[in-house]
Amino acid sequence: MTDRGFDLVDIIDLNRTPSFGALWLVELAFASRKGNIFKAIDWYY
Amino acid sequence: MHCSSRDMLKRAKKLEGGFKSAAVDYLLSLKFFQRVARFLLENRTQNLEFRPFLGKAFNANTEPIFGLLPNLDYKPEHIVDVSAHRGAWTISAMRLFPDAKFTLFETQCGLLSGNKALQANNVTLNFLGVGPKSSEAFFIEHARQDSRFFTWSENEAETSNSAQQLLTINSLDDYFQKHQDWPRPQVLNIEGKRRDLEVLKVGAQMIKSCDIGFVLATVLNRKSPDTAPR
Repeated sequence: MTDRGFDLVDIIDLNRTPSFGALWLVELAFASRKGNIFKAIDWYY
Repeated sequence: MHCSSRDMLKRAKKLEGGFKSAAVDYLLSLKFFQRVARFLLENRTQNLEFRPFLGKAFNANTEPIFGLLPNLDYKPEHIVDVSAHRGAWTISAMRLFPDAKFTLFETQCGLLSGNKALQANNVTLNFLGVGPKSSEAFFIEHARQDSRFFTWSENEAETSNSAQQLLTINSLDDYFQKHQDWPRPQVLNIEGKRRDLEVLKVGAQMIKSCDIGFVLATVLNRKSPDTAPR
């Protein structure tokens, strides 16, 4: 996704196996660098 | 063809899992159950173990980011859901962006057709497969509804124990070149497995023009990137 012009912005879900509790799948959200949607978020509080 | 008792037992277990999964999926698709689940999640169950199970009813995990977007003055006009399954992700998006247009792709038409929330004018349901290029591919009907997938390899199709059928695949670029009556897609969700994800590899123009993309990625499931339990 980075090569396609996107940056990671959120981790939506961590899907763990019922048997071992191991991390099987993750659901991720990426935002386009062109869009600049998240530019307003640059401080913690 | 000889079939040992061990194989039969294995198959029976697979079918049992598939039935349970289908029953749970059906329960989660009911509006009443979704309301109860939402109430419990929001008011009563901050730390309970069954929280992930209830959250599946309306894809509660996406709510933080969907809730954030209007605060950033971002309201998408067109949202695309590839491998929509029962439409839980789309319904979650519809709650926060009721005026947006929605285009859904799902190969298994029975999963979406009964969902009344998706019968609105701003929703287009496409019972099509999506791939890196328009072609045909074998659709493997695994016992679990959320683990069915396309394969381009005849070898894999032949060796699979599950039923299969040859279906048409559309590339996202081809589809949206033919359907330009709605605004450009701004948010894309690909919850597909295996070959569905090759859509990302080829870097379709449609994906490059999106503002936000949701992707399912494997971590320890390296051999077989789908959701089937091992």
